[in-house]
Amino acid sequence: MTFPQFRDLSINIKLTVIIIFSCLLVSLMASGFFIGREIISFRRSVVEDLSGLARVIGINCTAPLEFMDSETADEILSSLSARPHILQALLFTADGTKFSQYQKPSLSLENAQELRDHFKETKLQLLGEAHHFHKNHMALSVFVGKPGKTIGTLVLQADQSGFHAILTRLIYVVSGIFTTTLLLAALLSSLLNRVVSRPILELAETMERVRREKNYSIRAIKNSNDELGVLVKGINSTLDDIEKRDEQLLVAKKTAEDANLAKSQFLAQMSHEIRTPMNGILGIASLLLNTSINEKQYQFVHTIRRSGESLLNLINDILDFSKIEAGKLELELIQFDLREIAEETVDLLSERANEKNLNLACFIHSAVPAHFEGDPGRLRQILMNLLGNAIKFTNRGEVVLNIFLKKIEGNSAYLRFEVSDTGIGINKGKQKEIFCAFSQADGSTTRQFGGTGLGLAICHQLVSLMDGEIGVESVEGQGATFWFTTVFAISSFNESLSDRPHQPIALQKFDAVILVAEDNPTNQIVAQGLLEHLGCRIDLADNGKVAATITAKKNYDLIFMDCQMPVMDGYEATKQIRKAENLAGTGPTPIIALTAHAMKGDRERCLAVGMNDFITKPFNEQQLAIILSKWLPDTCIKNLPGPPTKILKNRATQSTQVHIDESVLNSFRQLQQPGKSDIRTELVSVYLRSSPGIMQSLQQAAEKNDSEKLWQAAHTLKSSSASLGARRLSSLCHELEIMGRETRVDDPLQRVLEIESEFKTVADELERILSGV
Amino acid sequence: MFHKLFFFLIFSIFLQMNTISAYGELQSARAMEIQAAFLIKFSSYVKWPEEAFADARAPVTVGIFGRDPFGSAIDEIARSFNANGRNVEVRRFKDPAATHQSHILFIPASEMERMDEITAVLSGRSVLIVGNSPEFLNKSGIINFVMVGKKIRFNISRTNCQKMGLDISSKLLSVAHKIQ
Repeated sequence: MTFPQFRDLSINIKLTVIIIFSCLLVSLMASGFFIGREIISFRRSVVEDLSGLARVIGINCTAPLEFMDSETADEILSSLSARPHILQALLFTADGTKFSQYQKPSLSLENAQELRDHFKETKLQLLGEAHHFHKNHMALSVFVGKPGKTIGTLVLQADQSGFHAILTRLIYVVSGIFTTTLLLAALLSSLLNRVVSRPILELAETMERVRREKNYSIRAIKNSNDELGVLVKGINSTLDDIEKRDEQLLVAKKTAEDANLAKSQFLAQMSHEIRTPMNGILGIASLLLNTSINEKQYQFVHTIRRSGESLLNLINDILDFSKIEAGKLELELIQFDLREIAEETVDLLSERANEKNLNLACFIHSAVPAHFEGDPGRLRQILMNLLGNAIKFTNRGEVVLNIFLKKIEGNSAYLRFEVSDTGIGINKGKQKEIFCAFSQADGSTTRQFGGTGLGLAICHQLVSLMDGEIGVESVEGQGATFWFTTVFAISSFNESLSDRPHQPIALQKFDAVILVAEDNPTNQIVAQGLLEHLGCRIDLADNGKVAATITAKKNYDLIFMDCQMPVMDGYEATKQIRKAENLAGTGPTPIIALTAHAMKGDRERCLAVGMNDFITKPFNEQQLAIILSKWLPDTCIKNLPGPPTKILKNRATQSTQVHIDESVLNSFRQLQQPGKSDIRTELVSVYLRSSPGIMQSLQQAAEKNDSEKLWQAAHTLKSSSASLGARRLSSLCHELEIMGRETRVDDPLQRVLEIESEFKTVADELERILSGV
Repeated sequence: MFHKLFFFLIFSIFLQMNTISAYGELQSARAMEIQAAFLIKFSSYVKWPEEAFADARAPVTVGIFGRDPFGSAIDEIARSFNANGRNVEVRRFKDPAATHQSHILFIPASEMERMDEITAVLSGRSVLIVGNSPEFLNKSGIINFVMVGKKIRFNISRTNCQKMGLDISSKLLSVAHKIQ
């Protein structure tokens, strides 16, 4: 334990110590002075007394000395016995011989010896007018005789015990003074504590409380108008300022938060408002595409639809972003099949990849579990964004999605997703920035490639919500690999999520009677058109009340219910319909909400009033088809002849590289004019007929090592293969073409063999697909 | 009564014998030296009437009658002596008639036959008559040196002193061997 340093002690103790110390010092000095003065004055008086006595004795001894009468001198000296403190008297003649001596009768031998010794020591001094203090006694000498005519010396030795007694008394007195001083100092310091240190301690305590409780409304109490009062005033006014500032800051914070909330609400509202007309544009465009229009008109309408979809994506991005900013985005926790999500996403983007002649592939590591619990919609959004970006910024080569399992901890699977492309890449310095909102690698990028610059920011936020990380590895000009990690709970529920055969929805038609309750005429047209195109018969209701009335009279296979309608909204109408069904004892008709609100909570509200599912406006035919296939009884679904499901299953389970992307082939169906021969069949047979020749010239060129011929043949095969969705073949040809152009083909024969084997597989699959037609 | 008388006689004889032998030593040269010093010192212990001196500065005259037993030693002592502000001078007298000029007069033992003559002259005068002879004080002497043991002491006759109008200091009286 170390003694605390004096400066660390409480001010209370400090003051007490200082006061007591200074009081003691003063009393010590005063006592010292007093004792010294007492001693000096006592000695002086002793000396005076003794010298007076000595002078009287001396005068009396003059005659005896002059007349050498030692008896008389002895007699005179013996009169000193009346003075008990005189121990010894010695009378010397002028020449220093002892003339007479007196010794106190009671003087002990030792004392006498001591006196003699002492006298011997001081003899020389004593031969004049002098005095000397010894331990227990003092000696004093005076001249005998008249001034100027010394006839002898008288020496008196006196007891000093009186002096010691006085000294002892003085020490008692001083001790008394010391004790009194200490008591007074303690009293004084306690008074001072009240006046000085207590206010300081209270102030310190107050400040400590302010610090500890972070409560700036606490005030110190002012008791005086001295410097402490000024200090208290200063501290209080500082606390006032802090409190006032805090209040202002709170108000400012509230204002800012309100403003931000208002902004988010405004954005959400605007998005909603924009969605309704967008629904009209997209829906009508889709309907138009299904009518007999010439190719030019088809192109125009197609462009309208594409532009509308882009616009819708932008709005969705902005809405997501505002939701994230407002902290309103919450993840769902539902079961999903990761392979299904990945493949759907790749499917959705395959058309765009195809347009740019890119190889789009998806690899899922075999260790990755199939079923998870999480938010598949948001996962799909992230994948869409990253894959979409990759396709957007890649002009040739490939875009590959890899999914790895990092580890499994308990019930949690740590997944890593990688989207690699061979595109323009990202400058190292910009790699961090691109995940910030409204940022693309370069301002010029936006002009060149479009987009809001919100996509990656949203991905970043979503990945963070999924307890993951996102990043990019890239060398400018050599492509980029975007990766992100997530943690999903592994679903113990191993049942396939979709029991229905996995069929391209576009190949399904529905034979059902459907009621659409929707007030907006445009949306009525869109919904009616799209549903009729899917084979349904449609009744329309302008509001919820009409819908409730109609359903009471007629049975429908399914009802689409807009949530917000005049007279009676969708929620109320649903409640009434469900009530009527209960009364009638009829089975519940599936009711699907149509809502422009994309906010979480809407879904819950819809389900709460008795609806079965919901679909967000604007919707397209495919989305409607998915809903229909999900909720209509099987008897209403008419499967149109389509590609064999075997291949699809194959893809879904193996998840290996795709030889044929049948979405490319399917896209030709869009162009199919009713009554004409199948375009796909024609294209495939042309491809199969022409390709062997190209293979032959490839082989010859390889044998001759003719780079020129090699790349030309490869180019031809690449284009025709790509247009049929033979992506791998196309990319193999593409590689060969590039190497041929640069005349740096290493081992051309091996490459041609590879292409040949891939071509054989492709040809087999194509024939199999066509045989199914 | 008889006993008392007897003791007195014995004591007197003893005293007499002692005195005789002492007076013998009293005349020795060493004893005379001390007596000379004492004689001079007496001047400071005796107060004379004012008319005894011509003025305040007049010296004290120490006279030696007849044959001088002190020699020049007494002159030496007197020269350095100061008696209450007065110097001391030593004079020798042969004629008894002149002895009244002294303040202190020493009559040696050898001149004792002329004692009566001198006292007649000094009658009514303030002169301290000092001697060293037996029965000196009974013959109008005032201070008489005696031998006590080996020491020189002196006896004083206060009666004779008063007769002469002299005032002897109590200090001197305190060191006297006997006072009559």
